[in-house]
Amino acid sequence: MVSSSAALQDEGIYLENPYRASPITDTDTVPNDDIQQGNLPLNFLIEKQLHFPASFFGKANPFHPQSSWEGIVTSVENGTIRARLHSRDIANDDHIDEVEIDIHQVNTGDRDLVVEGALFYLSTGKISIKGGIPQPSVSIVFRRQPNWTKRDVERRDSISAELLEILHGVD
Amino acid sequence: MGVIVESDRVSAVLIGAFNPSIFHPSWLALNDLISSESLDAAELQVSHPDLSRFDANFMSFEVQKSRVIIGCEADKDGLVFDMVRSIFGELLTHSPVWRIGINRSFEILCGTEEKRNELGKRMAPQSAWGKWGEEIASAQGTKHGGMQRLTMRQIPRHDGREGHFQADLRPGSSSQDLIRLDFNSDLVAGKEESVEGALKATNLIEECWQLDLAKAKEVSNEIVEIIEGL
Repeated sequence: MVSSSAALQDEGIYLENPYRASPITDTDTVPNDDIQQGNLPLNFLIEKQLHFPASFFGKANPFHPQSSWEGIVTSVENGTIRARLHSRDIANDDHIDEVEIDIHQVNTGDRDLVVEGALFYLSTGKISIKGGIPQPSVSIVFRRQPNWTKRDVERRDSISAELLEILHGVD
Repeated sequence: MGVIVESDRVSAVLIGAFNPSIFHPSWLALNDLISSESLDAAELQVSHPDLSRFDANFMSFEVQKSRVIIGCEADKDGLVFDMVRSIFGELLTHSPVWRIGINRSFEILCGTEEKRNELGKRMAPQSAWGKWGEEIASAQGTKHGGMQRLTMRQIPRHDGREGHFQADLRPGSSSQDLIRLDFNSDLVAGKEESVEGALKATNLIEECWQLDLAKAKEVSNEIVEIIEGL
């Protein structure tokens, strides 16, 4: 689904001249202004927006998020990540989207983090490219959560014990 | 024009005793806190024994001998949360930290300058200043005075913890209808002379991070509603 943009990314086209290749021509029927949450299905947004490598974002090319989601990976199979997303907009807090994401959309340095249960952020928005027009883009960032410490384990055991007591109390 | 939240950022501030020299993108990558890709993309601004400042993996870092600030856009707030817990809960557990701040800053476009002025008058009525307030209110032309900064503090905190929760409202400078709304959740992790390590501070971050950021959002939503109703 994103093979064309992923291939371009692997070739470094975005890094060299991101607005030259115009790899979004297959979405010409969709005006950029319509690419926002609510107007189009989320899977469509992820597929059709340009993915830039993490190294491209920064002060020179700031990313302006328009919609953001927090995701949890539910499975990874044959290079396809399945995930559940919930909007970070409080108004849509209860809404869950099921999405599929090509693993090539994830930066290579983060791919070892892509396992079932991993948490990540997905944002759609526009990236301001120096000397070029803003481009619709998607940003996917995986969280690097710290390992469980002895203290965490103790706290888990303490909470479990409390819950057990409550459950036994119910009997 | 409607009200637009132009920017929404979060940060964690730790007050204690630190060594800025070790805070460097390479050190983060060495400890697997950022990827090698993010290391390559990191923007180092200052690296000095007294001050380290850089951007890496969507986060900004500023480390002085007595203060660490790690921030990012609010839609990725977990990155800062994870980073603070990893650095001070795993790597630098012995660094003394006696105070922390959980901060959230909004930049809000009111739609028109008139609405911004009205908000200022609503928050700090000029009539409360007597004759001087009348003088301020009577100014003609595009240049005029009014509220420049308003700080509202909650003590005791909403959760009863030692510290305070505070909002700071002021006009922004980059646009005639811009306001800045900065929230600071201040938490005490110990006494400077007796605190041991960063354990209490990381515990406080874990317990308060989400709730305090949500509270800031909740209050900001109410301010937005007020502006919309003007």
